[in-house]
Amino acid sequence: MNKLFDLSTRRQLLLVVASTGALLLLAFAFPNNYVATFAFQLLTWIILAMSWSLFSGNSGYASFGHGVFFGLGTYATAAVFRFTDLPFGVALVIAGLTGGVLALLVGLAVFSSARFAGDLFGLITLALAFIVITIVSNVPWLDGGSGVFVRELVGDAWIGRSATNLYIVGALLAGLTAIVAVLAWKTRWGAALQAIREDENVAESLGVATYRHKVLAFAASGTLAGLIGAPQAVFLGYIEVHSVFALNIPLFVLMMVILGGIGHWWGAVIGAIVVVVLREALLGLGSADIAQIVVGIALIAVIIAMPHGIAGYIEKLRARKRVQEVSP
Amino acid sequence: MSALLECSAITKRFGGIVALNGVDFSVRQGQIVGLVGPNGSGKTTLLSCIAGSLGVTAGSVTFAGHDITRAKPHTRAHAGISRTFQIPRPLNSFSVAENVAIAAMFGRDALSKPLALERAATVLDRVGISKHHAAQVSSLTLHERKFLEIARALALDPKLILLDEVLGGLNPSEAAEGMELIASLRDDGVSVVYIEHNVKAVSALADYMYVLNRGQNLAEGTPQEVLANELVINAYLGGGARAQGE
Repeated sequence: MNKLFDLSTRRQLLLVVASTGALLLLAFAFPNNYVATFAFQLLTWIILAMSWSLFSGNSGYASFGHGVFFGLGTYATAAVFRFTDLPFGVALVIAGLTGGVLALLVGLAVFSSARFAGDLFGLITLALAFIVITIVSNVPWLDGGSGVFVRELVGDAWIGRSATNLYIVGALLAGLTAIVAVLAWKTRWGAALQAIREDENVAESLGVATYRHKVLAFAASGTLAGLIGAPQAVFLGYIEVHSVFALNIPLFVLMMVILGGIGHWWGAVIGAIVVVVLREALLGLGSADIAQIVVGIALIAVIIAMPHGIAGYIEKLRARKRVQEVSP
Repeated sequence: MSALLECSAITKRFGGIVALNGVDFSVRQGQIVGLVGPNGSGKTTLLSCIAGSLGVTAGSVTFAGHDITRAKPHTRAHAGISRTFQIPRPLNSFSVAENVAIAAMFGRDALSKPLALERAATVLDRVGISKHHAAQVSSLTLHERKFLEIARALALDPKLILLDEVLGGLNPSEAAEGMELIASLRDDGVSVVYIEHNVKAVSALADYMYVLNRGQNLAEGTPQEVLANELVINAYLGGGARAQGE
């Protein structure tokens, strides 16, 4: 049925706010640091997957630059701690702005030409990753090639005191990301992005200002990835370009979103939970390599069995149930 | 009466290929203008230059007194130009009603979702495919897809609608239904550019006709004038059509 136009946007936003509240309450119930750390890592991947999907899943423009925005967020945070005495909240905002402004500039440039539509966009974002890695490794006050010990820079600031504090920031950012994701799926903005995914020329001919909608979504996606870079920089303690800008990030996120399904904003959430929990469970059994292989096989199995991801499969089951109810 | 749409000396090159070479074309308010020509004569290219999905190499496009030569397609849609695609291009993950509602939401009226769906219902009713409003596009027949193209273009509330072979491939009764629909647009004051490679089909509907050949203006005039034109008969209709006409 009209999944785009069902009028439950307000309800979904309420659900997001309530879930965020529940996640925050959960912070008081963590039995130990391990659980808090795992929960924070899980939230990080959920945020990365949701923020990637709200642009790439929605519009069909696969970006391999998501690690760039995240990585710049971590470096921006390190720089704020290194050169100022400003609190973590300021570092967080600057991390988000750094990712967002870069995404905005790249979006403004790349989307201005129809030549870069489609697959070429993916290659450009890939090139962006290499360019940024090279620049950051060669700028002495950012990195200079030796990495940055963020742990020492953070000192006894609130954010560095416990994994639970990191988790609290993660939960708030997850709530923010989910709100933007709901808006990016359910509002006019979402309708425009989904029309672009189906057929960009047709969308234009129907009056959709495709350029503006793409740039805005890409910038939002970059901002959210930059934001989660801030607590991650503190969590990692030591950052270097090859870990925080790693291509693993966009590839993992792509896998999560395909697994979860691109048709719904919450597909990314399901995908991230499945991949992270599966990996963690398998790590308990054996080696990281085996975990990697099993996750890969699981992805292939899901693609074959559920071409529209888990979210699409759930939607199909619901539709079937509805039909059965109507025709007994 | 001044022209609603005025294309002057439109040239469009794709690399070394000249698809349009100094083409003049204009449409008056409330007119159905037929645009005919053999395959490859540049009809669809001209339509794309008017809709804005192709930029022109030289020449100018003026609509309702404004120069829109460099305007983007969505700006032209907001100004009141809408189009259909020769091979229907529905948005497949949207329902039939949503396909139409998108145009109402993002067109010049920028309707809210509920109002856009209301307009979609009205428009689908008008083109006669309202019973499919909740259906997935994949379940539509070619005839219904062609009419969905028209419905989507109408949902923009256009002043000028560009129809690219909307009746091609339809059976006679479906085509008759389509011709009736096109004629009714004129009655509402909407101007129509109607592309066909079948001159006879167009001449039955059109107030005025243009004939393109190899990217250039070959002839123009009322359907009677065009059908009687020696150049058109020689270059396009061939001797057989002439014998039939006599």
